[in-house]
Amino acid sequence: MPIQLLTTETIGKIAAGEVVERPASVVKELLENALDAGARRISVEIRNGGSDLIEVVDDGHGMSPEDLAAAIQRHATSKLSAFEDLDTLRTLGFRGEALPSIAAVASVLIASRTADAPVGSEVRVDFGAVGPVDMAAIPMGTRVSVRDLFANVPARRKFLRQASTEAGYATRVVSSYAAAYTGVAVTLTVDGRRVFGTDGSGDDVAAATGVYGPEVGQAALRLVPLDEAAAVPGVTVTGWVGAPAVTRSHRNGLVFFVNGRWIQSRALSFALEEAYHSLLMVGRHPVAVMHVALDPATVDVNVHPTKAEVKFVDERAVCRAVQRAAHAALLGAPQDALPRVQFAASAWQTEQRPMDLPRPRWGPDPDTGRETASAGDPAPEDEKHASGVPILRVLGQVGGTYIIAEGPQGMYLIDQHAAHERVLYEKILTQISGRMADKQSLLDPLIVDLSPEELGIYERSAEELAQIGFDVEPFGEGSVAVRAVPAMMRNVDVAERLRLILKELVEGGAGDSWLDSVAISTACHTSIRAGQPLSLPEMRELVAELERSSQPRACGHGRPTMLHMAQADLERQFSRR
Amino acid sequence: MKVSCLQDNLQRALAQVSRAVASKTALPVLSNVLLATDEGRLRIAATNLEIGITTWIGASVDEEGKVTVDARLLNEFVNTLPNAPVQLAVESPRMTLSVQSGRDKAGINGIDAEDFPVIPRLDGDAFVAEVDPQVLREMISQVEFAAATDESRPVLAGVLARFEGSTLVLAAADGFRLAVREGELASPVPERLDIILPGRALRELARIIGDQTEPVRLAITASKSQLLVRVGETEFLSRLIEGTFPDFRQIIPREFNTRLEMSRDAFQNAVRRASYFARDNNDVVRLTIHPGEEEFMPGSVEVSATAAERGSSQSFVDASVTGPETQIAFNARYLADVLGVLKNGKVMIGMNGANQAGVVRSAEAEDYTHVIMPMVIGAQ
Repeated sequence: MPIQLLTTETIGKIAAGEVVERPASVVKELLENALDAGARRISVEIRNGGSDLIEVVDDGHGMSPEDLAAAIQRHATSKLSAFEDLDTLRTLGFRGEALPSIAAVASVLIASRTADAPVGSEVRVDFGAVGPVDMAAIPMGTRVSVRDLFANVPARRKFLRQASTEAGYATRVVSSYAAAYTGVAVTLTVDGRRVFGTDGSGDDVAAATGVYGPEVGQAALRLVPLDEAAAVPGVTVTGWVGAPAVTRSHRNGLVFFVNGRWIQSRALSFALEEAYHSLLMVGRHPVAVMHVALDPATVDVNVHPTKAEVKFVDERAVCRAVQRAAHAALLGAPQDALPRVQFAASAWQTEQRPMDLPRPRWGPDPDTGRETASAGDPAPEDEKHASGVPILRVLGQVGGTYIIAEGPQGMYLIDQHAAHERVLYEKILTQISGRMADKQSLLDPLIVDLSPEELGIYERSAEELAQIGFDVEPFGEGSVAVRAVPAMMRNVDVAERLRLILKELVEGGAGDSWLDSVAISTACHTSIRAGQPLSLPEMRELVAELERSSQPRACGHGRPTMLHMAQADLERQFSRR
Repeated sequence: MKVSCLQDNLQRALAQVSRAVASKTALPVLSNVLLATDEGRLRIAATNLEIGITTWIGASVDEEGKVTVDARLLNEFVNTLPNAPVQLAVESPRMTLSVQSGRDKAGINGIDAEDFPVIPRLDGDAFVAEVDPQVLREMISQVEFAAATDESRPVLAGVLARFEGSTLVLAAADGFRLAVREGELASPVPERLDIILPGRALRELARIIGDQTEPVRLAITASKSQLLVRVGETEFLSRLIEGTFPDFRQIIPREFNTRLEMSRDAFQNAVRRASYFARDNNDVVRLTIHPGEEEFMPGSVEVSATAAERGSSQSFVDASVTGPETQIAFNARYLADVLGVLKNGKVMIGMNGANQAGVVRSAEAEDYTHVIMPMVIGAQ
């Protein structure tokens, strides 16, 4: 076949493939255009996962008929005139690809009116075929309706997921922008149902409540400006992070905007989660919306047509700023928000089992100490340790695993393994701060056979293990000799526990340094296990030690150590009120 | 079965064997006690398959027979009866034991004695040794506590008993400490024999020995899998732990750089005081040994403990010290354990530096040796 120039239509389709991957990309492009147009109100509507209709209506400054005709030309943009301008870019769009790309693969109707024009204009583009510009009746702003997306690209249409999945992707886009652009009132309607709406009041928490609901709104901790010592020069981080009590099983709740542009960054997600270190359960992720503002010259947004990825000149500085901002906000979080066990509100009225315990709900205790006191509870009000754990009276053990205790505000269930792990973890940290931990020598060296994998991780961790109190040396092929163990490791099978520690480290550590990871694994595998019956004095001692620890509410892996069942809930369940 | 016996004999026997009754078992008959007529006496036995206890009491037998009934129920009922003859009777096939004392009576539903495990008897065994009961009891108390409490190395959860010539050696080690005690046999044994006994079984044996004065006969069953002990009118059976005990002799240091002797009572008190502070710091107790100013002048041992949050303590014990000034740290519990089983008088401690094993002995007797591994205190 002779070499020939591609037709405009083909070029359009190919370029569209880069920008318009799926309905959510269309939503993102249109949303960004609306924001660039200075809109105060934006409404987004999606039908059938975006295949039937995507419509974005804004009240921005609109376009004149001439602009409208130009807008659908490739690389036509109002936002950039020369490449150098990229360095000082403050708008979301700039490539001039979005509208023509969308118009190449869908039937698009654009209507717009500027403030000073008496009447609006509209233009229709059907799969690249541009129609004439007509007059149209429309309020100030722009309305873009995209129908029959990918109808002319069957291959791509085939690769779309179910309508509900595609709607989910689109929802994530709209909710991220809505939560970030707090000054813009954004509403989203999917298949005729209003999914959420923000008030555009400019308040972070109000926007978070509007988008993610009151549970997240209540847990949102505003980021505060850092003091000079902690601040990273040239990088400003604003927004909010969710309290550790509100988590997700995925990272979709982590929203980052860099200079107003929504981006995906593993590095930033990682940096943020580091700030939650040991406060979250393994496999749970926080919720946060963070704006990172920095000199446009230090960030390259032109990495990818969808602009979802950016390159930082100094990525570590940005990560540091994110982490410090989140850490500062978390330190200010209320310390007494224990996870609570709550009964389904109307469980006793229905046919359900009366003791149907739903999964524990997380959140601050709405029942104040005052209320409990008026209910005639003789327990001292708000008597707590500095750590935020109330003084507890141990009552017994359930299933050889959970300690039941009574406190001033009801019943507490304590996971003995997680609690002991936290206690040991802090003991190890105290011991190794600035020195080596105490250790107990063995009568004769214990030879432990290791798998090649375990041996590899042992070699990597030898120094850390020594700091924590293990005296372990290589011993022939495939085994090590243990000469001393940490002093706190008592009455346990040393060989088995050492292997468990190494096995966990093979899977990657849970701490923020390797030493920390080794400490967490050591604490986990030398502590009391679940299913081990404890005597009352043993349980009392454990609870007292937990009360004394500095972060008693989660073990080193971030699993909760205790659950709270409020007195009021018990009374409600027994129909006392 | 139809027998009559005295209430206090029956009560004592039931209390004796009840220690071998299984508390949680899938086999109901193991929570029962066996009552059987045996050559004009009543045999009472219980076993949890780990240990077994059999004892005999005098009884007048009118009709031979045997039965098993719930040990706890029978024990509790008999305890409340007056000290008077008790009539026991079983009417087969219903296996109900009727227990009668005067007008008080009970019928206890039982299980056929044929279901009860056979407990081997002491006769015609391959290996027999005799030992003084009070010596054996003391030996057990000095060694048994050093056995490991976790089951990771089964031999270490047991106590080694070595019969050799005319001596019996008991040894136990849990990886951090070692206790070795020698005692004399009534007569030499023909060949050396090593067996390993569960620590728990030895504790029961010491309890059964109580204040008995008749020599204790130890025998190994022909299968070499069980130990049988005859104590007065009672026979005790224990399974043996299979395996080879580590060579403990090589662990015991023979010479010491530093050696001290002091009053056991004074040292024990000092350790106890320090242990209250050591509790919050991994039970670390430090010993600082100060030799006398001049030769033949008494020195002292400084016993100290520090817990960062609680405070610290310091005690001094006069001691005769040979060797240079030195410091060593031990687990307070290990020290307390060994000091508690030493006889009154003087204690000897030998050591070769902060990282080497320490030896604790009675200064007057060489037959007991206790080795404790030190704790290594983290460097700043």
